[in-house]
Amino acid sequence: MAEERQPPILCVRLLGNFCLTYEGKPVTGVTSDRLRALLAALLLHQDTPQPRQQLAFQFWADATEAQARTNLRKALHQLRYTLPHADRFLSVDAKTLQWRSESSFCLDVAEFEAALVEAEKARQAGDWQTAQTAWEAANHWYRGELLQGLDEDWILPERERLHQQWMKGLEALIDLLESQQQYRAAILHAQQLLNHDPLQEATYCTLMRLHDLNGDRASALKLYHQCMTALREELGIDPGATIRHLYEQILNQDGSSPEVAAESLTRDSTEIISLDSSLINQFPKLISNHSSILPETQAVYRSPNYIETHTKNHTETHTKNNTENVSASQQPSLGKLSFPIAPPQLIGRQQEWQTIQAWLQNAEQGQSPMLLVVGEPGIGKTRLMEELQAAIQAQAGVVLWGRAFEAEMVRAYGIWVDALRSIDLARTDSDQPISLPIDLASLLPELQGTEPPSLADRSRLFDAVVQYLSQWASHRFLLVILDDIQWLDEASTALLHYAVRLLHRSSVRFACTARQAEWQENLPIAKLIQAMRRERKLKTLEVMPLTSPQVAELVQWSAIDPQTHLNIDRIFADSGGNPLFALEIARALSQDHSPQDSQSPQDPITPNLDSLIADRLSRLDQSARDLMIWAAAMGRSFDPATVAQIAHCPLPQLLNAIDHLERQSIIRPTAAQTGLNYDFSHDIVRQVAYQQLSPPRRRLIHLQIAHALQTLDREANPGDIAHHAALGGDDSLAVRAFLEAAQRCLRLFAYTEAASLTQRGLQHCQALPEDDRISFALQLLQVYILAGVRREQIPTLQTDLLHWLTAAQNRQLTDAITLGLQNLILLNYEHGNFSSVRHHSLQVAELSRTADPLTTARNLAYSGSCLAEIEQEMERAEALLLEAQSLAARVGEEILDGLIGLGYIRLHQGESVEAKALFQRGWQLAQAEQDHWRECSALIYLAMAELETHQPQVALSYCRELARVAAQMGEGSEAPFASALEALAQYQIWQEAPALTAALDTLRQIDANRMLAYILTHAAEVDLHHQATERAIVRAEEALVAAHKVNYASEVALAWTVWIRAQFAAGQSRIAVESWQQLQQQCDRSIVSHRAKTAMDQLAVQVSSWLATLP
Amino acid sequence: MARIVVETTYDPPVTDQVWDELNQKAMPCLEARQIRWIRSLVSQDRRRSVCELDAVDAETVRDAYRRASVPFDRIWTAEILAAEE
Repeated sequence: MAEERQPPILCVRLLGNFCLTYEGKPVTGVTSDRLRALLAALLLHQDTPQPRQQLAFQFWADATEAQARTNLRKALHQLRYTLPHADRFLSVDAKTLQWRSESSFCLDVAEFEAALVEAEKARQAGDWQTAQTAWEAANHWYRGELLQGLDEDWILPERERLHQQWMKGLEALIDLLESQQQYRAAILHAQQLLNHDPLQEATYCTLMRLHDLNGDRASALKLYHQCMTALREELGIDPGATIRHLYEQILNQDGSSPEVAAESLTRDSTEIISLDSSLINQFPKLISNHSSILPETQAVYRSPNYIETHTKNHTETHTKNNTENVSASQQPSLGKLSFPIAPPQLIGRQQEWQTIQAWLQNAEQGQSPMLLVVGEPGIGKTRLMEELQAAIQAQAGVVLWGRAFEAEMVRAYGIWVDALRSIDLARTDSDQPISLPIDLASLLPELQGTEPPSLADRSRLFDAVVQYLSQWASHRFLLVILDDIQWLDEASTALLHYAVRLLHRSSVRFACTARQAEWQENLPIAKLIQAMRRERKLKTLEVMPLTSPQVAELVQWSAIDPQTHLNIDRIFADSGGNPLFALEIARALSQDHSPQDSQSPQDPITPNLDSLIADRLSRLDQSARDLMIWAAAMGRSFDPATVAQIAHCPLPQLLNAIDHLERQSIIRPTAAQTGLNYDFSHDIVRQVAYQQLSPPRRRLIHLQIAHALQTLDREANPGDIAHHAALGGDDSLAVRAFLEAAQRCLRLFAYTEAASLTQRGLQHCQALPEDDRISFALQLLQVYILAGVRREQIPTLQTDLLHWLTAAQNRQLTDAITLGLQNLILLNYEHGNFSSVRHHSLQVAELSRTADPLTTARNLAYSGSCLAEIEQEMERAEALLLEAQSLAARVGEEILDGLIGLGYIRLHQGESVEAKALFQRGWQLAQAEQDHWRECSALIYLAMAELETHQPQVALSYCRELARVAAQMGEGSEAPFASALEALAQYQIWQEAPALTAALDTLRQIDANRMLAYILTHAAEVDLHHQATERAIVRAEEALVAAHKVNYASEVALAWTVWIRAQFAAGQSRIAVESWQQLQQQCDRSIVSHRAKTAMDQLAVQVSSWLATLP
Repeated sequence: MARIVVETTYDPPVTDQVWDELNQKAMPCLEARQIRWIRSLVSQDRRRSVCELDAVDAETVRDAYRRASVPFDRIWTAEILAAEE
C-alpha cells in the first residue's frame, strides 16, 4: 500500500507569477525581486550547498566584495524573518546556504520536471495513458516562464531550458492526442503553443491540420491568414511553402467527404491532394467560418462612437471574449461587479456611461433590473451596448446578446434563441457546472437530437430559460443584451417579462435598445415597458446627439483619410450630431472633390442618410455588391457559407467580397457560438442596400433564397422559408412553410405569431390549385383556431369554415371534410357552444385543444394561484398569473383563478385597492360561472381585505353574502369562515364577544388553523386596543401556535408582533425585547406580507424607544 | 402532521379512469401543500370512498381539493385508535 502523502506546508511557485504560501495562506513578505531571486536560487540548487561568496557575487556583481556580503547577509536576514519557521527550510552556516530538500515543501519547477520524467518513462514503455496524464500534469505546472519579470543573467539559461522542455512535452502531448483523434484537446494545447510563440510556422501548420481534422475548415483557413499577417507585420516575410501548400490543400478539398479529407491531410503537408464532389452541399457547416480568415483591417487607435468602425478590438470582443476565457483570479465572487467598470472607448458618452454605471450599481441593490436605451437610428445605442458588453466581460461577467430583426417579427423567441446561442451552452464554469434544462431543447433543438421535447405549458419553457440564466447568475454577473426590441415578437416579449420578474433579485440584468419612435408601435413591447415603469423595474437612458467638438473628434478618429480637410461645422449641422450620419457625410466629403463650404442647392452632398449610404454602396466593386445584395435580402445576420451556397459564389470570390465589405464598414462580424456570422454594420445600411434592388430582381433573389434554404439547410426556420417564398412569389412553398412555421409556434405557445403566420399563409392559398387550396386553408384555419379566437370572431370564422367544408364536400376530399368538421367542433368548444356536439366529438376536441391559449392560461393561473395562496414563490406566482392574464386576454377571456390569485398577491403586497377590485371581478365571474367555491373564495378575501383596511362594516356585508352562498354548499369550511369573519367584524365594531368565541370554537373543531390564526390575531389586536392585555396575550399565543402549525410566515409574524406588543402593554418589556430579537432572527422579511412588514416596523420603533429609556 | 380523512360519495359510481383523473388533478396541489396520501378505502359498489392523508391540518386538504375541483363530502382530522400488535 502506498504511503499516504501529506500535503506540503510550504508551496513555492516560480513558474509564471511568483507565489509563496505557508499552510495555504500567502506569505506576503517576499516582495523584492532580489529576495525572490535568492529564494529561487536556493530552491533550484537545493542539491548542493551554495557558497555565500558565490551568491554574493552572483547577486551583487557590481558591489565590492564586502558590500556584496553585507547585502547577502541582510537579504538572508529578511528571508529568515519573513519565511515562517525558516530554519526548517534553510540550512545556514558561516560559509554556505542550502535549502533543506528533506523539508515539507512543494516547488512547481520540481513537480514540472518530475512529470516530464514520468511521461518520458511511460512513453518508452508504450503506456500512453500514463504518458498523457503526466504530460498534462507537466503542462499544468508550467504556468509561465521561470521567475517571470526577473531578468538576472543566471536565470535566463534555466528559464530557456525549462521553456524548451515544456514545448517539447506539449508537442509530444499534441501528437499523442492527435493520434488518438482527440482533436479538440489537441487544438487547445496547440493554441497554447502558438500564444507563446505567434511566429512559429510549424505550430500554425499543426493547428491548421488539427482544425481541419476536427471538421472546422474555416478556422484552419483563418489561421493561415493570421500567420501571414503576423509574419508580414513582425518579420516582413511571407509564409513558407509548407504552410502555403497546406492552405491550398485545405482550400481545395471541396469535393471529398470529411473522412477522405481527413485522411488526405497527411503530416507531409507539402503534398497537394485534389478532391472532388460537393463537400459544400453535403456539409455546409464546414465552411461556415471561412470569412473570418480575412486579415484585420483599419488600424484605429480609439474606436469612434459608431458601430461600423470596429477593428481588431471589436472582433476580439465578439469572438474571443464570447468564450469568456477568464482566469479564476479575475472572477468576481457571486456575480458581483467591481465599480467603476472600465470606461468606454467612446467619444462623448460620459454621461450615458455614468447612467449605465449607476444603473448597474442600483441594480445590484435590486432596483431596476432592466435598462432601456432609446434613441434615433444611428445614434450609437448598439455601440454603447458593445462597450458595456466588453466592460462586463472584462470583469469575468457573462453576456448574452440577441438582436431582433424587422423581417423576423413572427420568428417566435428568435431573439432568445440567438442570445442563448451567443455563448457556449455546453460550457461548464470552472467551479460550478451549468446544467441545461431539458425543456430548453424546445427552443434549441440542437441540444437534444432532432426531437424537441413536448411541453405541457408555456411556463415550462419560460422556467427552463430562467433556470438556465439563474444558474449562471449564481456565480457570475450575467447581462442579457437585447438589441432593437422595437421588432421583438410577442412570445419573446412575454419571456422577457417573465425573466425580468423572476430574476430581479439575482445578478442577471437586462439591457435593451429600442428606436425612440418605434417601440410604442409594438403593442406587447409598449405594455411591457409600461408595466416595468409602473413597477419601477426599468431605467430608461436616452442616447443624445453628439456636440460639435465630439463630432470633430469622431471624424478625426474614424478611418477617413486624415489628409482631407473636412468642414466639421457643416458635418455637425447636417448630421444633427448623429454619429452614423456624421461619418457618412464625412466619408462622402472626403471622397468628393467639390468645394467644402458650398451651401448651394447644387451641392453634391445631400443631407440625407439613405442617399449618402447609397452613394457609398454604389462605389463597391462588383463582387462585393453581389454579396451585399444577397445578404441584404436575407434580412438578418448571415452565415457567409449559406450566402455562398445560395448565390453560387466561389469561395475565393466570397472571401474577397467579405474582405471588401468589411473594410468598407458595410458589414461586420457578429457574436454567434455556432459559427462566425456577419451582419450589416447598421440596419439602415441593410435597408438601403435592399432598396437598391429592382422589384423583379428582389423577387428572383428571394425565390432563390427560399429554395436554397429549403434544400440546403435542414435546420432552416420554416418562417424564413415562408418569408422568402412569399416575397419570391412561390405560393405553394410559402403556404407549406407558413403552415409549418405556425404549427411550430403553436407548440411553443407563441399564439400571436402562429395566428399571424396562418393569416399570411391563407393569403397565399388563393393562388393554389383548388384541392390544395381547400386542404391547406382548412389546415391553416385549424392552427388559427387553436391559437385562440375572440368570441366576436366566431361567426365570421364559422362562415369561412362552412365555405371550405362545402368546397371539400363538392370535391369529395375525405380528409379535408374531416378536418373541416373538427374545426367547427373546436371553434364551438372553445367558447362552450357544444350542446349539440356528441360526446366522441368532444373527445376529439379535447385532444386537439391541449395547446390552445385558454387552456394554457387556465393551467398557468391554476399553478400561479396555488402558489400564491400558500404564500410560496410569490414572484413566480405573480409572473405566472400575469402571463395567464395576458394569454386569456388574447381570446377576450378572463380566468377566475387568475383574478383571485392576482388579487391575493396584491393584498400581500399591500395594494389593497387593486386587490379589492380583482376580488370583486372574480366574485362577479364566479357568480356568472356558478362556481360556488370560487365565489366563496372571492368573498372571503374581500371580507379580509376590508377588515385589514379597517372597514368592518363593509366586511360585514361580504360576510353575510358569504354565509348565504356557503349555506348552499356541503359540509365544508365556508359557513364557519363566514361566521368567524362576521364575528370578527362585529368584534371590531362592537366588541361582541360571544359570537366570536363560538366562531373560534368551530374553527378549532374543523381544524382550520390558518383562519384560526387570522381571526385570533385580529381579535388580539382589538383586545390590545381596548387594554384587554391578558386576553390579547392568550389569543396571540394561540394564533402563533396555529400559524406555526400551518407554516405561514406572514401569519406567524403578525401573531408574534401582537404578542410582543401585548407583553409591552403588560409591563413585560424585557420579555418583549427578547422575543422581538427571536422574531427578527426567525422571520424572513423578504417573504412576508406588506401588512406583516408594517407591523414589524412599528414594533421596531417601540422596541427602540424602550431601549432608549434604559440607562 | 395530522391524519386527515376525506369522505366522498359518487353518483354514478366512480370508475378507475375517473379515479385516476381525480388523483392526477389533485396531485400538484397536494404536493405544493405537502400533503401526503396514505391510503384509500373504496366501497365495493364504488359509490363511497374514504381517503387517509397526512397534512398540517384539515383545512389545507379542503383547500387543495377545492382548488383542484376534486369533490368531497367532508374532511376531518382523525385520531388513530388501532389494535395493539
